[in-house]
Amino acid sequence: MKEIIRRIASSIVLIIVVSFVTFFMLMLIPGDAVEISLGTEATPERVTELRAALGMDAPWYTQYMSWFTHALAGDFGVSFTYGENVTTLLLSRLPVTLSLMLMAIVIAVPLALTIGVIAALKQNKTFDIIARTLMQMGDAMPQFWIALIFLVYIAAQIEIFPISGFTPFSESVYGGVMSLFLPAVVLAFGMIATLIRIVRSSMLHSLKQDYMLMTRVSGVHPVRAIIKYPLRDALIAPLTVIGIQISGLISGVIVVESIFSLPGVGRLLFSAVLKRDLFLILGLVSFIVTSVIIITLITDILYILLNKKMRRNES
Amino acid sequence: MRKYLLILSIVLLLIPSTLGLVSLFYTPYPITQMDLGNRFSGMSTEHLLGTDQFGRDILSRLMVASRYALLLGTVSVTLGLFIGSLIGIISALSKKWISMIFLRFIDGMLAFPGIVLAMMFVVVFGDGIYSTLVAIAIFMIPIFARLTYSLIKEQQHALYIVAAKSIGLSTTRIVWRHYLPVILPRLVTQFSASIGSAILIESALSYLGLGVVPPNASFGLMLKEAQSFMLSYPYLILPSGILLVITVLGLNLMGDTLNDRLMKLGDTND
Amino acid sequence: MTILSCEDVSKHFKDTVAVKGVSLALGAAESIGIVGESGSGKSTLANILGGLIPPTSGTVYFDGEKISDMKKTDYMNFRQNVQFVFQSPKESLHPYLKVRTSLREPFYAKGRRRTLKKEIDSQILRALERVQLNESVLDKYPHQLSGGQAQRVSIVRAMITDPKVVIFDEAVSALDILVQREVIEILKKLRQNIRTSYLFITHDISTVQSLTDRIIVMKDGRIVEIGKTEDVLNDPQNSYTKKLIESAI
Repeated sequence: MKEIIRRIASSIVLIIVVSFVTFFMLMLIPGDAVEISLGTEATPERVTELRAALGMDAPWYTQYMSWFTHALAGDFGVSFTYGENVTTLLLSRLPVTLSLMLMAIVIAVPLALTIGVIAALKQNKTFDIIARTLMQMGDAMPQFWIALIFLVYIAAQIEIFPISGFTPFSESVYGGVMSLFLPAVVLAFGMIATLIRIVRSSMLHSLKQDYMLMTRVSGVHPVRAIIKYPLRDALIAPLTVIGIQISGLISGVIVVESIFSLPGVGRLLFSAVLKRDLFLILGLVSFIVTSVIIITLITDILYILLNKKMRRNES
Repeated sequence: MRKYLLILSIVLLLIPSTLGLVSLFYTPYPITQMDLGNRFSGMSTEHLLGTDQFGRDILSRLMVASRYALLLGTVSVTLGLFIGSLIGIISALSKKWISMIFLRFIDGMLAFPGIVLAMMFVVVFGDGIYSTLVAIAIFMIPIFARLTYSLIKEQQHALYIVAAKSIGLSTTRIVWRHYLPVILPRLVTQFSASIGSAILIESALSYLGLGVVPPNASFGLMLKEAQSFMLSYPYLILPSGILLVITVLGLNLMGDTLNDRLMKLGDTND
Repeated sequence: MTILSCEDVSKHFKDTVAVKGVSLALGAAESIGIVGESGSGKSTLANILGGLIPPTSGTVYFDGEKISDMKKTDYMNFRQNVQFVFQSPKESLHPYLKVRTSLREPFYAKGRRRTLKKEIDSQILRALERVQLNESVLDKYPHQLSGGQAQRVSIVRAMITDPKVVIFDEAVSALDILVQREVIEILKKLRQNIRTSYLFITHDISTVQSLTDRIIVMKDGRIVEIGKTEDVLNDPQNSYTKKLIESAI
């Protein structure tokens, strides 16, 4: 229990530190963000006007406090480039990104579990070796290249999957799923190598322990014996790396959304960076990092609880 | 088995290394030289790997791209290694509250997904090779800091460290001559594994337009340019992509075999 | 003349009190044995006296000065003059360094004047002779040595810079009986030639018989008996001491 509280506390501290660091970094942007966003209309009067309106003439720590307090209430300010509320923008793009991530996970996890378990059971036999080789190669490939290969050699040939653009689910569920499918596969590719590795090694580890015992206890059908504990451990294994995976997943999402022109959070961030849109960047980055921290926290807590349960069951 | 993998990794790495090395003195064509009459040509005796959308020689561009990739990867990870290890060592050996601050700081940096961190960096400092280098180095710092921190913490109460302290050696000396030999294997493994990641991150950044910019050549950049023409001339995405994969694969394999080797070394000393 | 002493020292850990109000004084060139079963607090006391851990209460004095009050230079002097030989010889030597390197280390202690390598190496050779080790051990790694050899190396390392005190914390307990006897013989001979004080911690009272001037018996963190070696062994006052003596025979 104490540990859980400690984790929560340190996560909160972390979120605050992170938002502060992000803010600070962005304050360092050379060239006035306001000037850039005004572009050709940047007359001195308009610049001062806008700065005052945005509260940017105050010292930076005041700006931070004001931003932070607003952020806690859910108000991340207004985007220069889109003229809308950052929060509104974020929320409008979130469904796409979430669906994409969900699809990627749904594709990657079952596949990884199956392949990982079989590879462990047939350790060092053909299946295993092929699987590991493919994984090694997959690790070395950048996601966007995989995406490009897919696009060129699959999408362009088979006309089912759209090359870019997104059909909202409100229009057509089928269209939506189809337009997300290829991107999700690409994303899944990025996750799958690590997942397979973890599943396989956890399975191997448990197999080494239980299998030996079980085979001596004759009369127990070996398959059932093997399957019980090692499989359970193997299934849980991906949970342990979710934290790292989420980080990588988000990096992948940004790239994939850009390639496939999907209107998601990643692509939004990318445009914001290109346009130096201060508040948008701040808001999105804070949101993303906070989500990562929270998800890691939840996974940690789950892991602690699960461990306690397992230990109790075993004794 | 392991020997073959090691040989394989060396062979793989030789390709970008030689290309990169040679590119310092000689490339078949200058990488910026355009030949608009000869765009999209396939492999030929004049252009061994063909030309791109501007008629530039792909092989020459690949050579320079290899050079950048390897240089950037190695330098940025080395920077990250040195600074990160320093931070990790200091925080492992400091009093509780100092090390707490360091750890929070490191966790903070780790909470940023790689690309996000690099993007922010590019926003502040602009794009280009040097920005990318620093951005990746910054990304690597917390990784090495975490690693050295936990490695030192592991050994802190080992008897031979206590003995070294009891002899009256200074902390610097203990770190340098007693801790370091023990943590070095793991550091080296992480180092080689990270160079591969560094190159992948750099290519992703260049692909998004935030890393190496035209008219320079980089794997990611070449792929980005290839994308615009992928329907009409898909071949373009192959040379840079394949060479990139070869480089990273070679690095990863080398890292893995090094890892196995070094693990063995550690065991015999029991 | 007392070289190392402590006054009313106690040490509390999370739920236990390892040392309770112990005072003792070690004289120059004197050898004291601290005997007790595991958990009696003797190792903790040794670590406190040697400055490796701070006491929860009480003071430790070296050469008349409180070590907690010492300025840097005095503390460094203390650190170099109070050396340890630990229980597990192979673990207290650096696994990746050759014996030669490990033996040179004490000469690089903080604040020591730099000695020439040649001089260091010749001192090492002389020291090896005194513990009956062949110079071939210099090129070996700890895991290549036998327990007895490794422990003798540790002894050389501890004594090579002529410290005023050497604390032997269960130094022979992990060795085979015959090897134990060899090492104790070596320590006895060393005592004859060098004026170092010994603090010999052990659970086996028979090992201190020939090696110490006085014996201190500890139980549950307290001193239960103290006196000259022959007196304590021949005429133990405390019942616990009697038990220890009986179990050793």
